[in-house]
Amino acid sequence: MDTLDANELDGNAAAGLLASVFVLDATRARIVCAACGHDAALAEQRAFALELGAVLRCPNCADITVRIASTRHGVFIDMRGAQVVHFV
Amino acid sequence: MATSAPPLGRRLDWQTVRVESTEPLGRRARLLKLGVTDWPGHLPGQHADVRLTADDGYEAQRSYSIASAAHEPGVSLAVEHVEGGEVSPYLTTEIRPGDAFELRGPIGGYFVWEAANGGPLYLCAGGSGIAPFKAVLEHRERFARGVPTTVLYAVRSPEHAMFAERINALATSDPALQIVWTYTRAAPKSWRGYARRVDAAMLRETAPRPDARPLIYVCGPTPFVELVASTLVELGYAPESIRTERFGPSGE
Ligand SMILES: Cc1cc2nc3c(=O)[nH]c(=O)nc-3n(C[C@H](O)[C@H](O)[C@H](O)COP(=O)(O)OP(=O)(O)OC[C@H]3O[C@@H](n4cnc5c(N)ncnc54)[C@H](O)[C@@H]3O)c2cc1C
Ligand SMILES: [Zn+2]
Repeated sequence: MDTLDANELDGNAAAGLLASVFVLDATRARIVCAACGHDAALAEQRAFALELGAVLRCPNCADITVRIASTRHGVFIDMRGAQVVHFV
Repeated sequence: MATSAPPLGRRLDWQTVRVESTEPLGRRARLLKLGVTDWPGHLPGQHADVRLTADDGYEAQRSYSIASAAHEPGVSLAVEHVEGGEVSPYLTTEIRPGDAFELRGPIGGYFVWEAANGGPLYLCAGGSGIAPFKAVLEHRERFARGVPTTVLYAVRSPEHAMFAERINALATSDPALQIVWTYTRAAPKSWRGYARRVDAAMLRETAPRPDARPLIYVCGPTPFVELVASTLVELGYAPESIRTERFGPSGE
């Protein structure tokens, strides 16, 4: 893991926003990183959570897996960095 | 929101809650007891989002763990005063019973422990990271007293500890529950326990052995969580057995 930023959070911090969209619990969803294939829970992704969105990164390679933005036009979720999002 | 399609299931939304009472938790934190009208019940370890709106419309949002036991009515948050912070100084020093704010919760199923998950259980808290474990320990007391449990709680000084009496009381009446304190800046006089930051030796001495396959939960400031989780992996604990929740930079 590269240098630590104390402001960094994890996927738990994005869970409230995700729960305003998904009926199933997103923190337990498994995310397979598109870059390195690492499989981890959404809660285990490294996160920079802004109040109206979040950027989640793979805990193994730090590539962006999921981007979430809440706007006046709705909630946008970009999952290009995730090969699979598996809700359990 | 511009969308109009009705949700098929229940999505979480904000609700206005009122502060019923507040009480000090040590010298640095405050317990806020909230009256909630629309609450489905929560699981031990879950959190909620708080949204404050100023008169000029400016909004600030933060997450707080639910410190109250799931089997008791109401919702309590344990908020540590973070110097220079935007939200926590308001919640710890300005808010009064009767004041209202918005709450979204309960949130999250990953950082949750229930009786059915079993043990042995090893809970590592730094500073305010004890908040979700208070709900876990009260749940355990009620539904799973026999589960062997060790809590390692790192605080700067005795004044920084939250729920010290409550947690010690749970342990005195229960031989299967052990609380280990470490004071990272200032220990009580004539203290013979740990008085340093958490390190590999402390984790080795306090955690159940790896072959006992403990369920491990680590919560608190991000640097604390990173250090504890990575050291536990080096000590031979399976990464899948370690669940983490990072609170950000706030003090340990
Ligand atoms: C899932 C989750 C659960 C949480 N549960 C709890 C809980 O139960 N109890 C609790 O007390 N807290 C909890 N937190 C933390 C809480 O959400 C807030 O982050 C905390 O209250 C601080 O908010 P603030 O607005 O007061 O401070 P902020 O305004 O957000 O600032 C935080 C502090 O960091 C400092 N800071 C900011 N940037 C930097 C930097 N780059 N380097 C160093 N310092 C910096 C600021 O000066 C300030 O002192 C939780 C967080 C999460 C994600
Ligand atoms: Zn990756």
